[in-house]
Amino acid sequence: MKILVVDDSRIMRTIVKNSLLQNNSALYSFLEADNGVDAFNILEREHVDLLLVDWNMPHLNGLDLVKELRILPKYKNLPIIMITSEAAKYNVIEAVKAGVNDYLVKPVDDKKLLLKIEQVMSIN
Amino acid sequence: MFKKFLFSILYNGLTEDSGLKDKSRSAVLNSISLISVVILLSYAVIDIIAKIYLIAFITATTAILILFAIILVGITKRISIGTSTVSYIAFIFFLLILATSREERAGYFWIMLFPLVSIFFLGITHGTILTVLFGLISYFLIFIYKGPADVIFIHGMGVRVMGAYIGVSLFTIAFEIIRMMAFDQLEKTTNDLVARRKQTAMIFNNVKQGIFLLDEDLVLSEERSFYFNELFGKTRINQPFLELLKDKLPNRDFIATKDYLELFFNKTVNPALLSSINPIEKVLITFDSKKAEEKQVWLEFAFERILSKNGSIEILGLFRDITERVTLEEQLIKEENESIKNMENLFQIIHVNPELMEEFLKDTSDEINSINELLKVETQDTRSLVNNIFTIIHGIKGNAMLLGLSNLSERLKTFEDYLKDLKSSTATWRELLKLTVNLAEIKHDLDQINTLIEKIISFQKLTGENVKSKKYIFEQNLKKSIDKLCKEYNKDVILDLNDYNIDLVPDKYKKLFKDSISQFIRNSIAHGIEDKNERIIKNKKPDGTIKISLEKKDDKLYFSFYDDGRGLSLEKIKKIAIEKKGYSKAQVENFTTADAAKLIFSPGFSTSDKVDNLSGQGIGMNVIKTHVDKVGGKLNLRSSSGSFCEFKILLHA
Repeated sequence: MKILVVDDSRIMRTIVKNSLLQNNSALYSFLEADNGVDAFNILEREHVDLLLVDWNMPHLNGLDLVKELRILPKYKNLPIIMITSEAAKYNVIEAVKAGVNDYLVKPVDDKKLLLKIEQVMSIN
Repeated sequence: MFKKFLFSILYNGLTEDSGLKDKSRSAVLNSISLISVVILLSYAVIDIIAKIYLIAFITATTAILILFAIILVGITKRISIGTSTVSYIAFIFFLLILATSREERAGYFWIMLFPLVSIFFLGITHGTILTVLFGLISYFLIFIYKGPADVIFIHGMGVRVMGAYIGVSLFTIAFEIIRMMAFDQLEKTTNDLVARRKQTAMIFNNVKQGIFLLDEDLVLSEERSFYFNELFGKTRINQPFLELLKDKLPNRDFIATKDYLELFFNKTVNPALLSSINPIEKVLITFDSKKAEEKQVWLEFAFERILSKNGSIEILGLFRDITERVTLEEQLIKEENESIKNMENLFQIIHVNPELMEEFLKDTSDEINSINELLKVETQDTRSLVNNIFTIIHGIKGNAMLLGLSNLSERLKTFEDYLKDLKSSTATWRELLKLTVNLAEIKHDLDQINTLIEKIISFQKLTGENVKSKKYIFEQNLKKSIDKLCKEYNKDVILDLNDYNIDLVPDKYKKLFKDSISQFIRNSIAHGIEDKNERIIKNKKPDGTIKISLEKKDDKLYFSFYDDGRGLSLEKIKKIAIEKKGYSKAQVENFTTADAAKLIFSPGFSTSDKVDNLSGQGIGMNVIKTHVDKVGGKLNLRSSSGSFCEFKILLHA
């Protein structure tokens, strides 16, 4: 499963990757981007199974990226999970409204992340 | 009006719980009876005119009997009386007519009515028996009984009439059976419906929960619980739900709620995620009632996506009042904090000598009372008032810190900061009133500590270590007030307490010692001890010395307060004696130190050049003197001009 991890913090990307690799390193392969624009370009270039995206990023933030993607028909069913420190309910509502399939608040909990990925992948 | 009258006749004899069967019977019974009475009476009249008196009599009697039956039904409210009476009257009347009717054969037609009347009124079983009986008698009357001489029955006609009678009877029976079945069904359905509606109404009316439905435009449907209306008032038709919440929620929550509810119509959104992000799961809603006061209610909302029959999505909304729960929770948290604080206090005070703590609490409580007194007096100069309060609070805070009461000292620190802010501007009286609230809180803390102390004091004994700390806090307090005064008067003083054993002070003299020492210190620093330059010129040590000592010998306490200042200034005292006390020049000429001392201890005497609030705060030498006299002690003064001044108190231990 090819996962695109989008976060402006390299440490955060590593944490997310490691927490997944710990579980089953053979299953996942990763692509990385540190802003929304790069993430969009990667998506245009390569096939991606799952998008893990941060909210606050330079250039194109995560929320706007999701909005842009959902406009385009080919990304309509792309599973997206937002991983961010914006924990308030109204933030989650905004993100879900924008089109994310699920939402995870930092700090990332391994088990929760795996569970959410499983759920999101099974629905799509 | 006419309609009402008609209904009252039709439903004559009905009660409120009469069923459908009774209702239909009653309508038919009453209408038939009424019509037959009218018809019969007119026949009777016709018969009288025709001079057929027997028939006229029978007809009229029948009419009256029917009328009587109807009235009876109205009184007894029992329709069965009417139906059986009418059936039996019909039975007799129709047979009489058949028997007595002449060549026109009116009786043939009348008998056809009987199966209808009896089966309808008396029911299948009873009615059929009567119908068969009636048929048999009719057969007898038509074919066997010859009747009055002039009646001739045509044979063929009789057969046809009997045939028709049997036909009508059978049809009536069949019809009645079908009708009854239909009725039973209808009644059952109606009863079910009524019961269900009652149940729904009961639930909707009594449940303390708001229940409502929202369509895709977030418009409220008409079905909702009574509690919904109770809380939100009556709403108009097609009321958008969000309009009800507008201005009752913070705007951010309002927008979040709108977005949130819209997410329900997006089938791709995970329901579990939805239920976890409900922004109004617990929300404080303010209802601006027509009265002046606003009503605030904590509500818990829950929403559920439901599919209606036509495939469209609707939202089932639920809410309930959780104000009581929230209040209790808050109270619980408060109590928890309180008990945590209590625990901390306990740990803090367990390390301090309880007597010392008691003393601290008593002093502090006195100080707070004195602040309250200050606040009661309405002075124009709020700035100096705030200043005074600040000084007192600062002192209490210092002591609390010394004793390790970090909770209390933190609270005092907050209060102190607040006062600092007030000091920088002119405080309004409203702001000053707020201080009393703060003071009350501090007092509450003190009370709590006090309760704990009382518990501890009962099993904690005095230990050597604690004595040291008692002495320590005494010294610290004293040094603090000396430092303050020194700053004020720009002087430098060294305090010597080596010969002062605080433990020798009995409880009864505690106040006297405290007051005296503070008064003597003020006196020394304000008047006795010279400033640095003056001391250097006089060839004295640059820092002044204050020595306080206490000895116990043979049940006597010897207290001494000594300073190496300029001593009593006889010149100054003489001058004041003349100016304030009305002495003559000659009188003061030969004043000794003893005479001067007497003057110092008299009321209204002060040698201070400065008018300042520090000297003003002193209770005055004469108060000390009075106090010492009262307990049977002696107050003496020794002084050498330019070198020292010593106050001595002798007390019975």
